[in-house]
Amino acid sequence: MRSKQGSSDISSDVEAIPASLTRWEYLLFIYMIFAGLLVWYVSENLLVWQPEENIGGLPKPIVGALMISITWIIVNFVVFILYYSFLKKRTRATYASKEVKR
Amino acid sequence: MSPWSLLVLSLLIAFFGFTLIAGYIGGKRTKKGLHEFYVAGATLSAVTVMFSYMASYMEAWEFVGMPSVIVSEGFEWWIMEMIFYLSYVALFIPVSLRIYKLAKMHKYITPIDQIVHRVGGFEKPLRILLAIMMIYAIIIYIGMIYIPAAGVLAAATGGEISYYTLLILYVLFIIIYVSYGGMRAVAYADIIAGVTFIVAFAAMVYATFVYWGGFDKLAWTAYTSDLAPQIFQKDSPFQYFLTMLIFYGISWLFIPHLVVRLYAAKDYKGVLVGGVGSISGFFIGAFLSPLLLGLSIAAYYGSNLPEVEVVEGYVPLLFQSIFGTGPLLVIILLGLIAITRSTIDSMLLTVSSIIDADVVEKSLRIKMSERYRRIVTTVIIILVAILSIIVALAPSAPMVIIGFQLAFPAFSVIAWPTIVMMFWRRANKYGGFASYLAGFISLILTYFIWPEAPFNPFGVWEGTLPTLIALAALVIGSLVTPPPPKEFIEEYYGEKSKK
Repeated sequence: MRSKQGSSDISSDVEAIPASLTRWEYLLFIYMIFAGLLVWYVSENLLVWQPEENIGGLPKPIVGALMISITWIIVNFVVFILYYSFLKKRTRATYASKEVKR
Repeated sequence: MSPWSLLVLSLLIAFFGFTLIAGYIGGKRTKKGLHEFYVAGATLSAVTVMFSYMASYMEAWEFVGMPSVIVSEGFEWWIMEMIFYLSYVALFIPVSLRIYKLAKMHKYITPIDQIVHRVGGFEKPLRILLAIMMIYAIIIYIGMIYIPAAGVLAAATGGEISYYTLLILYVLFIIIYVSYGGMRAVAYADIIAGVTFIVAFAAMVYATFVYWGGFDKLAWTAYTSDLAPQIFQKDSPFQYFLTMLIFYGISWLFIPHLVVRLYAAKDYKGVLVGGVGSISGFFIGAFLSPLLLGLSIAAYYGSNLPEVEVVEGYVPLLFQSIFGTGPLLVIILLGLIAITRSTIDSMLLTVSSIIDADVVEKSLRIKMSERYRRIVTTVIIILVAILSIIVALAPSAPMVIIGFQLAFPAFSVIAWPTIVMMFWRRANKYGGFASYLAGFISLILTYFIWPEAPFNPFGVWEGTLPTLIALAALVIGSLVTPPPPKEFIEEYYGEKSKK
C-alpha cells in the first residue's frame, strides 16, 4: 500500500504539523458561521435587478460579488500568515528538541 | 472552408504536434519508479507546487464556462462559485497540511492509498470501489471540458467546422497523444496556457478601460442592457447557496488530481506558498476574469446574443467582435486549447495511477511486465477519453451546470468521508467502507428518484443528500462497531515515535 518506513524518519517540518485540530483552529467554525451569514445577506438582498438603486456607485449584484470575493482573498492571506508563523515556531521547537535528545 | 477556419484547424494540429514532441523529451527525462512518475519523488519546490496546482485547477471553466453561464443561466451561478471560495480558501491550508503530513509519513502515491490506509481494512474491495467512483467522476469531468474545447473552436470558425467535427478531432488528438506516452508534457502545455491567459486577461482589462470607459461603466451597461432582468435575478432557494458553501466548497479540499500535488511537495512551505499563491491566482482567474468577460458579453450583445452551438462559444466571439480576427485571437485560441488540455492531462494521469498502482498492482495483484502494464493502463485511459465523449455529445446544459449537478457531487461523496476520517479518530473500517458505498449508491439513485434538477426535494445542492447519507453511514457504522486499534491510530497519526 505504501512505504513501510513508517514514522521513524519523520522530518521536523512534518512533525511540527499537529495531527488533530488545535484549539485556535476551532475559530474556523466561527468563520464558517460568518460566511453563512454573508451568503444569506448577498443572496437574499443583493441578487436583484434594481437599476435605479446602487451601492457605492455600482449595481447591487456586483457589490455582492465584490463583498464575497474580497472576503475570501483577505482570508487567504490571514490564514497563510497565521499558519506560517505558527509552523515556523513549531518547526524550530521540534528541531531544537531533537537536537537536545541527540 | 475560409482561410481563417483553416488557420484555427492548423492551430489545433500544431499544438498537439508540439506537445507530442515535448512529451517525448519529457518522457526521456523522467526517472523510473511509480513515486517518481506520479508524485515527482515528493521533491517539488513551493513555486513549482503553486504553478502546478494552479495549472491543474484552472481550466476552461473559469475562462469560458463561467462568463458564458453568467449570460445564459444567470449571475447567481457565478455568485455560487464565489461562495464556494469562502469555505475552500479558509480551510485549504489546515486540511492540506494534514494531507501533506500523512503523505510524507506514509509515502502515498495515489489518493486511494491515503483513503485505504485510514479506513484500515477491506483493502481490495475498497480500492476497486474507490477506483470506480473516481473514474466515474473523472469521466464526467473530462466530458465537461470537451464541451468548451470543441465549442470555442467551432464558434471561432463561425460554424464552418462543426462542434461535432472538432469534438471528434480533439478527442482523437488526446488519444494519439496519450498512446504516445506524452503525459510528461503537462508542464510545457501549462506554460503556453499561463502566458496566453495573461495576454487574454490583459486584453480584457484593456477593453474594460478603453472600450467601455472603466469598470463602473461596463457594469452599468451590462446591468441596464435588455438582457439584464433575466441575468440579475435569483431563482435558486437560499438553501442551495448555503449547501454550496458547506458541501461543495469543502469537497474541493480532496479532489484526486489536485491532492497528488500536495503529495509532491518538498516541505510544508510548499503547501503554504502553493496555497496562498494559487488562490491569489484564482482571484484573477476565477473572479476578475469571468466577471469582466461575463459583463462584457451582456453589455456588448444584450439580448442579441450570437448564434452558437454551445454557449461557451460566446467568449471567442466577443474577442473577435472587439479585437477583430488577428494575432490576439490566435493567441487566445491557442491558450484555450492549452488550458483544456492541461486539466485533461492531470485527470488522465490520475486515472493512470489508479489503474496502474491501485487496481493492477495493489488490488488485483496481477504480475505483469512493465511494458504490458503500460499497455493496459493506456487502453483504460483511451477508454476513459472515449467514454467522456458521451457527456459532450449533446450537452443539455453549459459545462458549469453539468459540473455543479453531475461531476462535483461525485467528488463530494469521496471527499467528505475522507476529510472527516482524517480528523475523527473513532472512525473505523466498517464505517469507512459503508460511507463510500452508501454515498456512491445514493448518488446514482438520486438521479433516478428525482430526475429533475436539483435531484432532491429539498432544494439543496445536488451533492448534499448523498454526502449526508455517506456521513451518516460513516458515523453509525463506526459507532455500532468496535473502535480502530489504538496502535493503528498512533501509527496513522505518527504518534508512535514520540513514546
